[in-house]
Amino acid sequence: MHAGTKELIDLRDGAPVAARVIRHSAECERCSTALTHLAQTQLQLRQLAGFQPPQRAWLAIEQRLQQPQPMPARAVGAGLAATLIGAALLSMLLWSSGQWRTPQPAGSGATPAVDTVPLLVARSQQIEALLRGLPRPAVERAATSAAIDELQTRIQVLDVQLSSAQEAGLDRTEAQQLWTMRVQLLNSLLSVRYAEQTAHGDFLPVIATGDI
Amino acid sequence: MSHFLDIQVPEAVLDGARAGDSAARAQIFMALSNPVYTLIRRLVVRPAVAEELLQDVFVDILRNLSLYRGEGSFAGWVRSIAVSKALMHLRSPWHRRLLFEDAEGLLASQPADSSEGAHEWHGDLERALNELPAVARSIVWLHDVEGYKHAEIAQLFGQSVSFSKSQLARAHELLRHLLEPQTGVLTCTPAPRNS
Repeated sequence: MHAGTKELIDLRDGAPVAARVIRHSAECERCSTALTHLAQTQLQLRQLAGFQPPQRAWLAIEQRLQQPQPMPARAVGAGLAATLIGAALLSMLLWSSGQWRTPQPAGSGATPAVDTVPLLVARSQQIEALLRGLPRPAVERAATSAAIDELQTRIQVLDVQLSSAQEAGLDRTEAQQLWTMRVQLLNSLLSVRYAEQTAHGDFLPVIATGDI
Repeated sequence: MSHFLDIQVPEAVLDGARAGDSAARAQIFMALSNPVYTLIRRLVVRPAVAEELLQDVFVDILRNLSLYRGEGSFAGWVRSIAVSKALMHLRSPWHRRLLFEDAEGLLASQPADSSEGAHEWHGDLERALNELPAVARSIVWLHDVEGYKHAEIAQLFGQSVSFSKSQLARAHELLRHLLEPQTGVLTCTPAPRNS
């Protein structure tokens, strides 16, 4: 059996390889040619000419160095968390004061034409799955941690309201508004968790969040 | 071998740059800009992107010189920052958009640098290298030229050593195919014993 490219590269690099690979590569013309080619390619890659950076590069760097430093990622994360919590709290406040309730035309029976609750429930589950897939950093920042706790508490309050919706006599519109708010809070939580990951320099998993 | 290994920056220059001395900063740039730019160009190919990343690397280095504590060579520290920046770019959605444009032929239409390709094989190898997928190209450059170990590459890519070895093998198979099309792509499939 001929040697594989991985084995030949190990042989070229002096890494440990099976004795049969060494014997075979010495005897087999095809494998010895491939080994020579691998060594030649490495040599030629090392001999490739370097690139000269554009002359304007240093001027641009000097200019950037004179500008004030951008806010560090953790500060951005904390700022984002504060903004998101503020938005979530404002939503809660508006909803609880009744200003955010959708005005219903007289005589419409206060029932929306389309029941979007199942969609909102599905969206909630989708975001929760994304949240479960995001690892928590080994070391948490106080500001971000407080933001996450706050959002989770708000979601728990909503969950209590939703679980007692029948007893409380909530109609479909009100349930829909609660579920909408739950999706918004989950979205905020997801954003804070992403900010937390970014601030820690962790690489985020590739998750399509564009439609969330 | 990597040009970085030969570069020494005197401690006095580093101290001057830490203190904000513009001449010392320029001296660091002069010493390291060629290998940094070459490394970035090999990984991301596009000159405009490479220039932006070069600026990012030096701005980061010169602003954070206090983080270099003299453990290992300064040039090695700079190289690790350059590699990290280039790989972050390759992972970004921005890069994926550029890849789409490259597929549309925009990169192919760019003229080659006149300073490149003094010999014919240089030109052929340059072209073949640029045709490799970004990850395979990065790994072949980091391993074969910069001297990174498979374990180090695996860590950089958040993958296994086996991933690094497979990508390197694949890169060499593609290079050989591009340089010598008649040989075809060598694979690890069993073949009759040649004896």
